[in-house]
Amino acid sequence: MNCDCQIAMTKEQCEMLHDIDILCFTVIDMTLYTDTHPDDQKALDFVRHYQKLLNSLKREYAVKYGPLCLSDVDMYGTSWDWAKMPLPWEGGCE
Amino acid sequence: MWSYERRLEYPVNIKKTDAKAAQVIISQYGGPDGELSASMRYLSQRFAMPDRRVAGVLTDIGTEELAHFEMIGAIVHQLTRDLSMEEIEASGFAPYYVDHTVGVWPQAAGGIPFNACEFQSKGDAVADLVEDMAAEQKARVTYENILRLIDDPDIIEPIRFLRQREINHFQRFGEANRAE
Repeated sequence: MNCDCQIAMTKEQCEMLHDIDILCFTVIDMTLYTDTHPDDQKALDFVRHYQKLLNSLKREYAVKYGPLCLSDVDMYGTSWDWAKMPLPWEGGCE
Repeated sequence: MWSYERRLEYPVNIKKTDAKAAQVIISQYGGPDGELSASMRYLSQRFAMPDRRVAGVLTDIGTEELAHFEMIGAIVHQLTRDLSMEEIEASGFAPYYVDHTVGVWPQAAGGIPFNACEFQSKGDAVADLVEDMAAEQKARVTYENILRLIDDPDIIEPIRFLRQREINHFQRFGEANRAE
């Protein structure tokens, strides 16, 4: 299959992805905490704050480099960007 | 229902192939205390879990285990994708290679295929949650054993991340068990 998805990511893209990884991990870990502490107001404020930062960074990433999830796909673009995004097991970032 | 994100939970960027490392790490893909067992265990136990909050913990941890399953797949793939025939023969990888080439297949380090008999879905809240806590400890030990067998920092970093997650999940299952 002819594939144009093997292009190495730039340093800038890797750094932005790294920030998304950090924010998303914060939300994942805190979600597990709030699952067992659903009335901890301080924890809820914390997770909501980072969820907002994560959402806006993911939208910014989608505009610059393409969608990481289907909800970020530009439905009106001229080609299906989702299919062209690198696969996460390709590696290539330092 | 699930949705996919086209990135790993923690990055995997391995530069040097190592078939020996791949053969032990693959146990966390399809072995007795691996990530596939973990995910299938928690996601299956949810249905009979009487407490909605506890079923929610099983859902969220079971989902994260799928992301760990993908990380292990990425590690095994990057460790084996550029192997030469000489490396395959010298590293003892030939028996795996003959059946799977360098495809990633769920098996234990000893070659035993993934098997649902490695976990239970007992339909009893205490029995299931106590099994889950034990499962996290067994996975932690497996990661510690892997860490004693590898020395490439590119592999050590994601494996240490995965080891730490076992500890966090153990804590959350303990809290879920007390709440139930």
